[in-house]
Amino acid sequence: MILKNTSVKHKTNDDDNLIPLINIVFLMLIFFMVAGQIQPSDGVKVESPTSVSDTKLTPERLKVVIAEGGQIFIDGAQVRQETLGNRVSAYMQTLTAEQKENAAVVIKADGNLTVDSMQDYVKTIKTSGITHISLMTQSSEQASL
Amino acid sequence: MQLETLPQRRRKMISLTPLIDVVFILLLFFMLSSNFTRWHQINLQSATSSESQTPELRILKIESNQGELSFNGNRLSMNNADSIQKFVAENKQATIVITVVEGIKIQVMVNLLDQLKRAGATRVSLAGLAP
Repeated sequence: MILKNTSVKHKTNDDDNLIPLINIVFLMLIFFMVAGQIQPSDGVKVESPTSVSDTKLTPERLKVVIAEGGQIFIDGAQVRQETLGNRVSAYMQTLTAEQKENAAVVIKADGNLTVDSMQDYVKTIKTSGITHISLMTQSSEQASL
Repeated sequence: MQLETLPQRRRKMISLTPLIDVVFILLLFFMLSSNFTRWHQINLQSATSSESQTPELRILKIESNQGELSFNGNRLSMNNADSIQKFVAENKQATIVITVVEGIKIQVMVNLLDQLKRAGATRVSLAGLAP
């Protein structure tokens, strides 16, 4: 009796058990697809400073990542300090005249980097002709309070 | 013949397991690659030249990573919200220029900016940092 019972249950249920599971997995999938943003990697781990700033990121921008040790990364590849100016100029070359006016560099620097070492990079970027320079920050829980 | 094939078709269903496999892989991909950090920015460029008058400048210097500040030789502390508030209230019309000594971390400077903003300062310049 018992043996018969279980075998019958198996046959009738089969995949039906899985439908609620799939429902939930689909919901999670949709959540992560809609709410998450996929970003290219920086090439290095950077802990950006947290801030209450609510200025939106400039849409047209070159992201310069500066790690805690002062290494520079652009598009995930390391750039030597001497060639940083060239890279920024090269970026400017790719823009049209209209875009050049709004061209911006966003610096994603580690919060533990010293301000004076960042100043050198800012100077280098400025001499290559970009005037809109900003510092990338992340909003923290503490900041949102 | 017909009678036999019809019920068979109804019974035959695509197994759900491969579907779940694929959906799980998609789910894993999106879970691992998505990023929920909300990014903002602080503009470093110097104040715009549109202001006709040159505003009064109040140079606030960060002295240490512990939050000691100095202004005209007076000592202030970033950890003391009241003193910041008082400083901002006294200098409502002026532009506060932030400068730093060597070795100050960016996070400390950003914290000061936040504090000044909370205290109601509207004109804060980082021009000294980006010469």
